Amino acid sequence: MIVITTQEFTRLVEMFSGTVFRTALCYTKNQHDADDVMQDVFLKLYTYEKKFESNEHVKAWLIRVTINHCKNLLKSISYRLSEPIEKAENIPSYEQGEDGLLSVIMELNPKVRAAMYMFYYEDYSVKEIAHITGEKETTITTRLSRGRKQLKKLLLKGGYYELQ
Amino acid sequence: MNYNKIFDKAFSSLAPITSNDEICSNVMERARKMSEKKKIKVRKPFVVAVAVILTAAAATISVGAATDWNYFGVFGQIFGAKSENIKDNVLPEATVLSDTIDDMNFEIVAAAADKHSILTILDVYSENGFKLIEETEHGTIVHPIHNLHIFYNSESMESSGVGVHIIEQSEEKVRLGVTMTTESTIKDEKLTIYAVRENKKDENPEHPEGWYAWSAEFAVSYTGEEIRYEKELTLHCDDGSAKVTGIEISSISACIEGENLDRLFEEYYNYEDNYLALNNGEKVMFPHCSSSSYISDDPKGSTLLNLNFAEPVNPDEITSITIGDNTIELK
Repeated sequence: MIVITTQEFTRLVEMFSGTVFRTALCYTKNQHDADDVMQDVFLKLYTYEKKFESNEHVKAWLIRVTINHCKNLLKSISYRLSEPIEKAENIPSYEQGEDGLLSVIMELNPKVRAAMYMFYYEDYSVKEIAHITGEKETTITTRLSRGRKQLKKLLLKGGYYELQ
Repeated sequence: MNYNKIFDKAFSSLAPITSNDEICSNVMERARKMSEKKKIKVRKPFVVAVAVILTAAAATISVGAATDWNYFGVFGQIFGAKSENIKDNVLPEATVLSDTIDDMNFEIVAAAADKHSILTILDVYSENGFKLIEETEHGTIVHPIHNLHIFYNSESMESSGVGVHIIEQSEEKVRLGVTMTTESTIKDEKLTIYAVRENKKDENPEHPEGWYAWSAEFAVSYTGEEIRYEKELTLHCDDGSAKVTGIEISSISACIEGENLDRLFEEYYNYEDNYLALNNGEKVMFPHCSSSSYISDDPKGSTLLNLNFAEPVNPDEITSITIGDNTIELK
């Protein structure tokens, strides 16, 4: 059993800050917003009064809360009205990496991107993703299938033949 | 393609901007301040109810929404009731700050409700010469709306979500449509709408962190009626078929009954612009279905898909609803 004490909290931040940040980035497409979301999510964890069964339980809870937080953020009036400087100046609002793969992935629908991230990066099964997101397994399967098709098309268009 | 490899290459080098130590210290500091300000209880279980509210000033305002339809008049006809018990209710803890909620004035212009939804038209005015909207070299900035959270509250009902949509805006005024959905049936309720701004810690020591709120309370005195269409049709969606058995249209929402409507909902959300259209024969209206839409399941397996409109529509004029690739003919 994991009870959120200051010591446990520090350990969990070390363990899962990257996962929360990357999950948030899947939705926000902006590193600064993802960072803000991450801190809000950890605030929820810090003030959470119930116990967790395991580290995996904490991780799944964090991802679910992150997704919900991002959805609320994207719907919020302030978010929709604020135009990031990066967008105004037409520069990416996240680190692209040398190969630019992230930019290609960011062209996918946020829900599709999040499902693929959880499946291919976090190694969750379809069943686990469905449980975390509250969606049906068929919905997740559809998103993964659709995402693979779209991503393949985008990658080939961008000349990423070596990844085949 | 090796998608594991693709995602690994794309994401493995990504790390948060804030260090883990900073995250911990920031979170603990925020938690401490939250604890101190716990007496500000504006975050109760959200809520709902409804009715109609027309202020005295609103009666003289004639604004045709995007549809050139005088919805204020129709709101009055449908819901009848008037209430003038709106009050400015800044929380006692609120401190005067520049560029905050104190530079704004709020007014409920109209409100209407049907069985599961409420739509409130809320005007936000600038005060003290403050401009609500500013054009900068980086685009349009809507200053006071930033960090403004708007929601409903009541003691006995819970909402399934709140959506906020800008109907029109100028330097002096922003008109918002604030929708909410409840799975309960709206009856005689007392409803409070809150506009709350969170002021996060900045570099100015005179700006304390906390919540600053305006609120208005009004009684729910009338529940509206919907136009009901008995429809039996099967729609083909990406995830399979969805069955529609009935539709109710009011001035503020479309409530669809049937089976597997989550598939239709998914279809709607899969469209980049959340495509939903109401057709009246001559023109197509895009009411921007709000975030307060929801799916509810009952034990018999039927589902209810409630789509709230961000702006009011005349239900008599609606001849069909288009959701994604599916069009439901009503007349």
